[in-house]
Amino acid sequence: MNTLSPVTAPTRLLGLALLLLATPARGLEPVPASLPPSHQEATAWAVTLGLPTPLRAGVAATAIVQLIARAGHHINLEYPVAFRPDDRSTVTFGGPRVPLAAGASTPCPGRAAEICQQTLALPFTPGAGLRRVSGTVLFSVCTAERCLIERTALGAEASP
Amino acid sequence: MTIRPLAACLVLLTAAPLAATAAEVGQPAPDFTLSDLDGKPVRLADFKGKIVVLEWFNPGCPYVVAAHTKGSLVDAAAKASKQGVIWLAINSGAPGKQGAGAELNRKARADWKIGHPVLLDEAGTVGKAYGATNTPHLFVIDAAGKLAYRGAVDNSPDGERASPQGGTLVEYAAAAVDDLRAGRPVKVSSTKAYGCGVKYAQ
Repeated sequence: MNTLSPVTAPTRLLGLALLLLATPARGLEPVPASLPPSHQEATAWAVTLGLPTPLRAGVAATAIVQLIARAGHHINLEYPVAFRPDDRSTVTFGGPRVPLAAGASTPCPGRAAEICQQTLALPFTPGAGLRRVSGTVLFSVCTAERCLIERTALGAEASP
Repeated sequence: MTIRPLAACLVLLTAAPLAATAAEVGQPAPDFTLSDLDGKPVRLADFKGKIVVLEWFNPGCPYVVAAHTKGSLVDAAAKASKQGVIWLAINSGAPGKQGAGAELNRKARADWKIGHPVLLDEAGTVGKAYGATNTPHLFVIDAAGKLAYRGAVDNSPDGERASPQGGTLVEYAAAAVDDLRAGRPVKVSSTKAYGCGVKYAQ
C-alpha cells in the first residue's frame, strides 16, 4: 500500500522559502547578469580590461585593454582589434563594434620586430549610476607558422 | 676577354628582378599546370579568353575560414562563375604544413560548398611565381591573360566584412572582375593582402 507521508513543518517552511526566492519582487530593478571577468588568458595570449577612475556621467572616457602575446606568438597588428559590447554594458559606445586604438607597445623579447604587449584604447561615455563595460574583444596573435583569430568576453565595472 | 664574364653577371643581375616582377599587374600572368584534388591537371592557358580569378587558399587558416563562412568569399566564386569567370583556388602549403594535403582540402571544399577546383601546389612554385604571400590572396587575370588585380579580397582585414577600412566595404577582387566585364580599366589594381602567411616549404 502506498501512503503519502505527512508534510512536516520544517518542510513547509523550506517550500515557502524556495517559493519566495523564485518569485520576482515587485518594484525592484531586475538583477543584471553577472559580468565576465576582467582578465582572460590562454596558452598563446592574455587580455585584461581596466576602467579609469573617476568617471563622470556624460563625459567621454577611455577603458584600457592590455593584450599580451606569449608562447612564441606575437600580436597581429594587421588585424582590426575591436570590442563588441553586449547588453550587460551600462555605458554608451560609438557603435556595435568599436575599433580599439593602439597605444603603447612592447617588442617581444629577442624579436624586436614583433610586438608582444599592446595597450589598446576603448572609448565610451558613462551614464549615471553603476558603470559596467561588458563585451567581447576580438584580436589575433600569430607565430611564423600559424595565426589565431581570438574573441574573448571581458567585463569591468566602476561605482559612481 | 674579361668583358664576357662581366656581361654574364650583368645579365644575371637584370634577369632576377625581371623574374620577380613576372606577375606584376599589366604583365602576362605566369602559366602553370597544377593538379586538382582528384589528380586532374588544370592548365591556366586553357582558359585564355576568359577572366580567371586565382585565390590562394589554406583551409586551416582562420582568415580563410572566416572569409569562406561569413566573409566575402562565401559566394563570390559562385557568383563569378555564373558570369562566366573561371575561379581557381590554389593551396601552396608544403606537405605537413597547416591546411596542406588533399584530404583537408576536400573536407573544406565540401563543408563550404566550394564548387570550383582546389589545386595543390605543394612545391610552392606557382605561389612564388605570382608572389602570393597570404591566404587569402587574390589575383584576377583578364581575358588576354594579363594580370589585372592582385591583393586582398576586400578592405576588411578581419576576414568577416565587419571592419572595413574607411567604414565602407569594398570587395576589391569582385570589383576588378566587374570592371573587366564592363570593359573598363580596373579602378583598384593592387592592394595589400591580409591573412595568414602562405605555408611554403621554405
